[in-house]
Amino acid sequence: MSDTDIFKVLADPTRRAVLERLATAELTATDLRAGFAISQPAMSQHLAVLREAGLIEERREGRFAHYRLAPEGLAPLHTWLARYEAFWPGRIDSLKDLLREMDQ
Amino acid sequence: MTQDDSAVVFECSLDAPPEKVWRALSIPAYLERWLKPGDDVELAVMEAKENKSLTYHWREAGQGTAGDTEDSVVTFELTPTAEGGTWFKLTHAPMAVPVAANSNMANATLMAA
Repeated sequence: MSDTDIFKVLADPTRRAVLERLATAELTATDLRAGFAISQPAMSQHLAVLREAGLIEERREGRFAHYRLAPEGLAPLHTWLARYEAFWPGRIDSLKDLLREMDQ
Repeated sequence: MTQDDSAVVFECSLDAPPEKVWRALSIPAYLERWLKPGDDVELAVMEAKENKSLTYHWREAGQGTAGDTEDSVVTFELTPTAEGGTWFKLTHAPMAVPVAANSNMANATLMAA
């Protein structure tokens, strides 16, 4: 899963909302639909995309599927953020140097 | 997953007025000198409000297969300070993850100064 793919998966507001709900509890698809104006097939589709992206996991219990966050799912995003958190401070120092060298 | 952890944000004060900082950010020859973006990075202006805010589309060739690119967005916001300087705010986010322009990203904010 590349960084780019994970960002596409996260671009959808419903999928981000699902991840937020699952951040605090394991839920069924029915629980997850509560409060959304969204059909059951549409929610199933979102859950399938999130599973394929490795962001959530499914646990079957009888007729019910329970969903929870996959522990390492957001690692590519965190890697991207860490890379640019390391990148910018040196560049900002260079910007300050340049501002001192520039004419008004 | 909240918007707080989907962007890199740096803020600091700069000892130059917004008009001067604007030139350092918008004139390619100056940008090249401090940003040193590298050969695999393409920058394109997406939105420009002179002396106030400047947004670049940051397109970087990925390290994986050929043709793989990473799209992100860098926004510089400039606010004049009472001392005649500039309060500088930089927000860098992957393009596919929208970041609310006015969201308070205190958790992700790092002081660069």
